[in-house]
Amino acid sequence: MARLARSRLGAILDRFRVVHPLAVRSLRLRWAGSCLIALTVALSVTVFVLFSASSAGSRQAVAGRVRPLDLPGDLIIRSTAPIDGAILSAISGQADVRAARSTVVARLMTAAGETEVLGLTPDLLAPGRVILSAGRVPAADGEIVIPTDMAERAGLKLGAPFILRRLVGGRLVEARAVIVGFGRSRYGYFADRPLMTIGALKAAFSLEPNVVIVEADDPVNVVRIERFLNNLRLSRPAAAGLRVVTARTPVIEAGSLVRGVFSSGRLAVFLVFVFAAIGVLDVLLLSFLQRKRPLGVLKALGFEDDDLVIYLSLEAGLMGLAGLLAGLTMAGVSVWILNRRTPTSLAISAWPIAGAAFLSLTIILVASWLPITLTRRAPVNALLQNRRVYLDPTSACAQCGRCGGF
Amino acid sequence: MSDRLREGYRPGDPILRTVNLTKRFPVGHGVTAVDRVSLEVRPGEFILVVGPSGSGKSTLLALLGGLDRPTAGEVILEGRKYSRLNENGLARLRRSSIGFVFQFFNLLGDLTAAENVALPMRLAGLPEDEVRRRTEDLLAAVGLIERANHSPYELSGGEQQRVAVARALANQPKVILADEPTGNLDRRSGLEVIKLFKRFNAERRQTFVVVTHEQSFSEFADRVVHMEDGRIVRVEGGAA
Repeated sequence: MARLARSRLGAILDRFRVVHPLAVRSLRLRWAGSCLIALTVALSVTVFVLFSASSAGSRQAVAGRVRPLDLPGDLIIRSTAPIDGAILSAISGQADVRAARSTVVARLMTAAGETEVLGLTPDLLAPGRVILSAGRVPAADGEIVIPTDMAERAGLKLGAPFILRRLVGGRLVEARAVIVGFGRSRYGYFADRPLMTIGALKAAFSLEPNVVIVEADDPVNVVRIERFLNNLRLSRPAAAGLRVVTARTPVIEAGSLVRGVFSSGRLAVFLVFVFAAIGVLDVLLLSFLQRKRPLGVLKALGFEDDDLVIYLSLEAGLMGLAGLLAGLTMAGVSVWILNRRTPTSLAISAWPIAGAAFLSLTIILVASWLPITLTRRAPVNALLQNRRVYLDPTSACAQCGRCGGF
Repeated sequence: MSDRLREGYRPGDPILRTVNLTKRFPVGHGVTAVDRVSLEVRPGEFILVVGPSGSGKSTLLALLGGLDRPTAGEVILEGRKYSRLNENGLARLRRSSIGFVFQFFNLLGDLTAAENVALPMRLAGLPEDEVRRRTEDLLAAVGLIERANHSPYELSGGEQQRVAVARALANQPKVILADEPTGNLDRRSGLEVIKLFKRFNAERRQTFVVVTHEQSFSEFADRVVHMEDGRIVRVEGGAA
C-alpha cells in the first residue's frame, strides 16, 4: 500500500514538473483575470482578518476592564423555582463535582425597600467571608447583616429590628430579625444584599433552596455542567428555570459580551466569503470558457485527468496564494494604521491567519471545482470545436448540445 | 500501452481499422454524421478523405483519433479497441500513437514554437536533452529552426501549420490524423504542408489520414476515400 502511494505520488510529481510551467505561463499571460481573482481573495482575507483583529482586540480590552468575580465556588446556578433534591444530586453527579451546596435567595419587602435577602450556610457567613464596616456576622437565627449603603439610605442602626415580609399563598407572612452588623459578602454575586442564616430564612417563609453553589475545580467540568443543564432544562419541566448566573472567567465573560456585538459582523464576514467564492468562480469559469480550445488541444495531446487537475488547480491555487499574501499584508497594514491613528484596539493572532489561509483554500477549491470538472468530463472534440460542455456529457442535453451547459 | 489490449495484432495487419463505425447526433430528428463506416488503413499508407461539407469527414477523423466516442461500431488501432479504453487510456493512446494536425493549427498561444513542439515529448516523459534534440530536428525539418522562440502570434498561417506538423510528429506516432490542414492556408502554403506530410510519410513510413476539400492533392495519396452523407461512397487507388 505504501509502495503504491509512493509510486502514485511520484507519478503526480512527474506530471507536476511538466504541467507547472504551463500554469505559471498561463497566469502571467492572463494577468488581468489572475489579478482580479487574487484581489477578490485578498479583499475577503482583509475583511476576515480585520474583523478577527477587532474582535480579539475588543475582547482583550473588555477583559482588561472586567474584574474577576470572587465566588465561593466555580459556578452559581439559580432557579426561578425551588431546586428539588433530585436535580441537586443530578448536578452533583456530573463531571467530578467536588461539592454542590444549596442556598436560598428570597425577594422580600423590608424596611429598606424590596430587595433580595440571602440565606447562607454558616461557613459562608464566617468572619472574613463577610466584610464588615461595623458589628459582627450573624451567629444565630434571627440576626442579619445589612449592606452599609443600604443601611445609610434607610437610616438603620445596629441592634435595630429589621422586618421582613413576603406573600405566601396570598397571605402576608412577617419575620423579624435584628441587625447585628453592616457590611457585605466578599463574594461578588452575594454582595449588596442583606445576609442571614439559611435556616432562619427557610423557616420564616417555608422556602426551599433555589441557588446551588458548585465547586467543579476544572473548566472542562464547568462546561460539562453547563451542557448538562441545557439538556436538563429540555428534559425536566422542574428544571426549566435553571440558569448559570456567574461567568467562569473574565475573559470568557468578555468574550460573550463581545460575541453579541459581533454576531452580525460574523454574518457579514461569511457573506463576504460567499461573494468572494462566487466572484472567483465567475472569473475561473470565464477563463475556462475562453480557453476551451487550448484545453481541448492539451487533452488531444495526451493530458490525462491528473494533468488537468494539477494544471487548473495550480493556476487557481497560485492566484489564491497571491490573494492570501496580499490580503494578510493589507490587513496587517490596516491594523497598524488603525491602532496608531484611532482609539480602536485591534490585535492579530495566529488563528485568524490560519483561518484566512483555510478560507482562501476553501474559496479556491470550491470555485475551481466546476471548471476542473467540466474540463475533465468534456469530450475532447467538444472542447476543440468550442461547443457547449456539460457536467454530464452522457445526458440527453449534452447529446443534443443546443442549449444548457456551459 | 499494455500489450494485452492488442488483441491478435500482427505486423502487416491494418494499423487502423473501423468496423461499422456510426456517430449520431440527436439534433432535431437525429443526424447521422458517420454511418456504418468500415475502413482499413495499412501501415505507412497516405490516405486522403474527401467529400463535400457535412459529409462526416471531420467526425470520422475525430472518431479515429479517439477525440469523440462513437454511437456504435469500433475503432481499432494496432489491435487496441477504443471501446475498451477509458478516457485516460485514450489520452495515453493519443499521446503515444497518434499525431493531430488541425485546420486552425491549434498551437498553444502561451508557448513558443519550440515549446509547442516539445510539449507532447515532455508529457511522454522523455529526458530533457532528448526533447531538446528532437525539437531542433523537427523544427529544422519543417524549416522553422530560426523561428523556434517565436510565439505562434508572430508566425504566418503557413508557419503555424508547419509548427503544428512538427508537434504532431514529436512523439514519432504511428498515425497522423490531419483535419483540413490546408483549409486555412493559401494554395502555396497548403501545398507545402501536404508535401511535408508526403515527405515524412515517405521517409519515416508514418501513416497519414488527411481530411481535405482539395481533390487536387489526390496525386500525393495512396488512396482517396470519398464520403457523402456519412458513408464511404467510393475509394480510389485501393480497397476500403
